[in-house]
Amino acid sequence: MQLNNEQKDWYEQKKKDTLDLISSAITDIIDVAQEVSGFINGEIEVDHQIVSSVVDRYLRDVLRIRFYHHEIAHIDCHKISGYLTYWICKLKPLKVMKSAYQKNLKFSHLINENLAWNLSITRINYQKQPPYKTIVQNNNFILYFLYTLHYRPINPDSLSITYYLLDKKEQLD
Amino acid sequence: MGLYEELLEASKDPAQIAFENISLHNDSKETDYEEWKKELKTHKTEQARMMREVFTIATK
Repeated sequence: MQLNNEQKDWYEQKKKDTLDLISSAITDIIDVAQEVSGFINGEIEVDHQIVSSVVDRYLRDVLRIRFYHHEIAHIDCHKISGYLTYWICKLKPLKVMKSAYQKNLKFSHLINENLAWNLSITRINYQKQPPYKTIVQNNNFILYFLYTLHYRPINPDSLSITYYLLDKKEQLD
Repeated sequence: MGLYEELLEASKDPAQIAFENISLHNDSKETDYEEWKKELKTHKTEQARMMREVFTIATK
Protein backbone atom coordinates (compact mmCIF):
# COMPACT_ATOMS: atom_id res chain seq x y z
CA MET A 1 0.00 0.00 0.00
CA GLN A 2 1.51 3.35 -1.07
CA LEU A 3 0.85 6.08 1.48
CA ASN A 4 0.86 9.80 0.80
CA ASN A 5 2.50 12.22 3.25
CA GLU A 6 -0.69 12.89 5.20
CA GLN A 7 -1.31 9.16 5.57
CA LYS A 8 2.32 8.49 6.55
CA ASP A 9 2.20 11.10 9.31
CA TRP A 10 -1.09 9.73 10.57
CA TYR A 11 0.25 6.17 10.45
CA GLU A 12 3.50 6.91 12.28
CA GLN A 13 1.74 8.75 15.11
CA LYS A 14 -0.93 6.07 15.48
CA LYS A 15 1.68 3.34 15.46
CA LYS A 16 3.51 4.94 18.37
CA ASP A 17 0.28 5.51 20.30
CA THR A 18 -1.01 1.99 19.68
CA LEU A 19 2.30 0.34 20.59
CA ASP A 20 2.39 2.34 23.82
CA LEU A 21 -1.19 1.35 24.61
CA ILE A 22 -0.69 -2.35 23.88
CA SER A 23 2.52 -2.39 25.95
CA SER A 24 0.56 -1.01 28.85
CA ALA A 25 -2.23 -3.58 28.38
CA ILE A 26 0.28 -6.45 28.16
CA THR A 27 2.02 -5.32 31.36
CA ASP A 28 -1.35 -5.24 33.12
CA ILE A 29 -2.45 -8.66 31.94
CA ILE A 30 0.84 -10.23 33.00
CA ASP A 31 0.41 -8.63 36.45
CA VAL A 32 -3.13 -9.97 36.71
CA ALA A 33 -2.12 -13.41 35.43
CA GLN A 34 0.55 -13.60 38.12
CA GLU A 35 -1.84 -12.43 40.81
CA VAL A 36 -4.82 -14.58 39.84
CA SER A 37 -3.33 -17.68 38.31
CA GLY A 38 0.07 -18.04 39.88
CA PHE A 39 2.25 -17.44 36.85
CA ILE A 40 5.79 -16.52 37.75
CA ASN A 41 8.12 -14.10 36.00
CA GLY A 42 9.12 -15.29 32.57
CA GLU A 43 6.27 -17.76 32.09
CA ILE A 44 4.52 -15.38 29.72
CA GLU A 45 6.71 -14.21 26.88
CA VAL A 46 5.96 -11.22 24.66
CA ASP A 47 6.87 -11.63 21.00
CA HIS A 48 7.83 -8.09 20.01
CA GLN A 49 7.72 -8.77 16.31
CA ILE A 50 4.20 -10.11 16.55
CA VAL A 51 3.06 -7.12 18.63
CA SER A 52 4.45 -4.86 15.91
CA SER A 53 2.70 -6.92 13.26
CA VAL A 54 -0.62 -6.74 15.14
CA VAL A 55 -0.33 -2.95 15.25
CA ASP A 56 0.59 -2.70 11.57
CA ARG A 57 -2.25 -4.90 10.39
CA TYR A 58 -4.81 -3.26 12.66
CA LEU A 59 -3.76 0.22 11.50
CA ARG A 60 -3.96 -0.80 7.86
CA ASP A 61 -7.57 -1.83 8.42
CA VAL A 62 -8.30 1.52 10.05
CA LEU A 63 -6.38 3.40 7.38
CA ARG A 64 -8.32 1.65 4.62
CA ILE A 65 -11.62 2.81 6.08
CA ARG A 66 -10.45 6.27 7.06
CA PHE A 67 -8.92 7.24 3.75
CA TYR A 68 -11.11 5.26 1.38
CA HIS A 69 -14.40 6.41 2.87
CA HIS A 70 -13.67 10.09 3.21
CA GLU A 71 -16.80 10.81 5.24
CA ILE A 72 -15.53 8.59 8.05
CA ALA A 73 -13.27 10.95 9.92
CA HIS A 74 -13.22 8.95 13.15
CA ILE A 75 -13.78 5.25 12.80
CA ASP A 76 -16.20 4.12 15.49
CA CYS A 77 -15.08 2.32 18.64
CA HIS A 78 -16.78 -0.96 17.71
CA LYS A 79 -14.72 -1.32 14.55
CA ILE A 80 -11.56 -0.38 16.42
CA SER A 81 -12.37 -3.10 18.95
CA GLY A 82 -13.33 -5.61 16.28
CA TYR A 83 -10.17 -5.17 14.21
CA LEU A 84 -7.86 -5.11 17.20
CA THR A 85 -9.47 -8.24 18.65
CA TYR A 86 -9.17 -10.03 15.33
CA TRP A 87 -5.47 -9.39 14.86
CA ILE A 88 -4.51 -10.13 18.46
CA CYS A 89 -6.41 -13.43 18.40
CA LYS A 90 -5.07 -14.38 15.00
CA LEU A 91 -1.39 -13.54 15.55
CA LYS A 92 -1.20 -14.21 19.32
CA PRO A 93 1.59 -11.94 20.58
CA LEU A 94 1.75 -13.60 24.01
CA LYS A 95 3.26 -17.03 24.48
CA VAL A 96 2.85 -19.16 27.58
CA MET A 97 5.95 -21.16 28.45
CA LYS A 98 5.90 -24.93 28.81
CA SER A 99 6.56 -24.74 32.56
CA ALA A 100 3.27 -22.88 33.07
CA TYR A 101 1.31 -25.42 31.04
CA GLN A 102 2.87 -28.21 33.03
CA LYS A 103 1.54 -26.62 36.22
CA ASN A 104 -1.95 -26.63 34.67
CA LEU A 105 -2.44 -22.97 35.52
CA LYS A 106 -5.82 -21.41 34.94
CA PHE A 107 -6.44 -19.48 31.72
CA SER A 108 -3.06 -20.29 30.14
CA HIS A 109 -4.62 -20.92 26.76
CA LEU A 110 -6.82 -17.79 26.74
CA ILE A 111 -4.24 -15.13 27.51
CA ASN A 112 -4.28 -13.48 24.07
CA GLU A 113 -8.08 -13.49 24.03
CA ASN A 114 -8.05 -11.80 27.43
CA LEU A 115 -5.70 -9.16 26.13
CA ALA A 116 -8.00 -8.50 23.18
CA TRP A 117 -11.10 -8.37 25.40
CA ASN A 118 -9.51 -5.90 27.83
CA LEU A 119 -8.35 -3.56 25.09
CA SER A 120 -11.72 -3.68 23.37
CA ILE A 121 -14.03 -3.09 26.26
CA THR A 122 -11.84 -0.31 27.64
CA ARG A 123 -11.93 1.41 24.23
CA ILE A 124 -15.73 1.26 24.27
CA ASN A 125 -16.03 2.09 27.95
CA TYR A 126 -13.76 5.10 28.24
CA GLN A 127 -16.26 7.40 26.59
CA LYS A 128 -19.20 6.10 28.57
CA GLN A 129 -20.48 7.42 31.86
CA PRO A 130 -21.58 5.33 34.86
CA PRO A 131 -23.79 3.31 35.31
CA TYR A 132 -23.12 2.02 31.77
CA LYS A 133 -19.41 1.88 32.32
CA THR A 134 -19.09 -1.86 31.93
CA ILE A 135 -20.64 -3.13 28.75
CA VAL A 136 -20.81 -6.74 29.92
CA GLN A 137 -20.78 -8.13 33.42
CA ASN A 138 -22.01 -11.65 32.84
CA ASN A 139 -19.15 -14.04 33.57
CA ASN A 140 -20.65 -16.93 31.63
CA PHE A 141 -20.93 -14.73 28.57
CA ILE A 142 -17.33 -13.54 28.89
CA LEU A 143 -16.07 -17.08 29.16
CA TYR A 144 -18.12 -18.17 26.16
CA PHE A 145 -16.88 -15.17 24.19
CA LEU A 146 -13.20 -15.84 25.01
CA TYR A 147 -13.69 -19.50 24.13
CA THR A 148 -15.20 -18.49 20.79
CA LEU A 149 -12.31 -16.12 20.08
CA HIS A 150 -9.87 -18.96 20.70
CA TYR A 151 -11.51 -21.94 19.05
CA ARG A 152 -13.93 -20.63 16.41
CA PRO A 153 -13.34 -18.86 13.11
CA ILE A 154 -13.67 -15.12 13.67
CA ASN A 155 -13.99 -12.16 11.37
CA PRO A 156 -13.16 -8.51 12.20
CA ASP A 157 -16.42 -7.08 10.88
CA SER A 158 -18.54 -9.70 12.63
CA LEU A 159 -16.67 -8.88 15.84
CA SER A 160 -17.39 -5.18 15.27
CA ILE A 161 -21.13 -5.79 15.11
CA THR A 162 -20.89 -8.05 18.17
CA TYR A 163 -19.25 -5.21 20.12
CA TYR A 164 -21.87 -2.81 18.80
CA LEU A 165 -24.65 -5.07 20.09
CA LEU A 166 -22.97 -5.49 23.47
CA ASP A 167 -22.52 -1.75 23.75
CA LYS A 168 -26.04 -0.82 22.69
CA LYS A 169 -27.91 -3.65 24.33
CA GLU A 170 -29.65 -1.35 26.81
CA GLN A 171 -30.99 0.74 23.95
CA LEU A 172 -32.00 -2.31 21.93
CA ASP A 173 -33.98 -4.05 24.69
CA MET B 1 -33.40 4.13 -17.23
CA GLY B 2 -32.57 0.46 -17.78
CA LEU B 3 -30.83 -1.81 -15.32
CA TYR B 4 -27.45 -1.34 -17.01
CA GLU B 5 -27.68 2.46 -16.79
CA GLU B 6 -28.80 2.23 -13.15
CA LEU B 7 -25.88 -0.04 -12.31
CA LEU B 8 -23.49 2.26 -14.14
CA GLU B 9 -24.83 5.27 -12.24
CA ALA B 10 -24.59 3.44 -8.91
CA SER B 11 -21.04 2.26 -9.58
CA LYS B 12 -19.75 5.84 -9.80
CA ASP B 13 -19.56 6.13 -6.03
CA PRO B 14 -19.34 2.71 -4.39
CA ALA B 15 -18.38 4.17 -1.01
CA GLN B 16 -21.63 6.08 -0.89
CA ILE B 17 -23.60 2.88 -1.35
CA ALA B 18 -21.68 0.84 1.16
CA PHE B 19 -21.85 3.52 3.83
CA GLU B 20 -25.21 5.11 3.27
CA ASN B 21 -25.79 5.76 6.95
CA ILE B 22 -22.41 7.23 7.71
CA SER B 23 -23.20 8.16 11.31
CA LEU B 24 -23.19 4.47 12.25
CA HIS B 25 -19.52 4.24 11.32
CA ASN B 26 -18.32 7.52 12.72
CA ASP B 27 -17.40 8.45 16.26
CA SER B 28 -17.74 12.05 17.33
CA LYS B 29 -14.06 12.28 18.23
CA GLU B 30 -10.68 10.82 17.35
CA THR B 31 -9.52 7.99 19.65
CA ASP B 32 -7.94 9.50 22.74
CA TYR B 33 -5.11 7.16 23.65
CA GLU B 34 -4.50 8.81 27.02
CA GLU B 35 -8.13 8.24 28.04
CA TRP B 36 -7.95 4.69 26.75
CA LYS B 37 -4.82 4.03 28.84
CA LYS B 38 -6.49 5.53 31.91
CA GLU B 39 -9.47 3.24 31.37
CA LEU B 40 -7.13 0.25 31.17
CA LYS B 41 -5.66 1.18 34.56
CA THR B 42 -9.12 1.64 36.07
CA HIS B 43 -10.19 -1.65 34.55
CA LYS B 44 -7.31 -3.61 36.07
CA THR B 45 -9.13 -4.32 39.35
CA GLU B 46 -12.26 -5.37 37.48
CA GLN B 47 -10.11 -7.51 35.21
CA ALA B 48 -8.60 -9.36 38.19
CA ARG B 49 -12.04 -9.91 39.74
CA MET B 50 -13.46 -11.11 36.46
CA MET B 51 -10.55 -13.48 35.85
CA ARG B 52 -10.88 -14.94 39.31
CA GLU B 53 -14.61 -15.55 38.87
CA VAL B 54 -14.59 -16.56 35.22
CA PHE B 55 -11.84 -19.08 35.60
CA THR B 56 -13.34 -20.49 38.71
CA ILE B 57 -16.38 -21.26 36.58
CA ALA B 58 -14.11 -22.67 33.87
CA THR B 59 -12.43 -25.16 36.14
CA LYS B 60 -15.55 -26.43 37.94
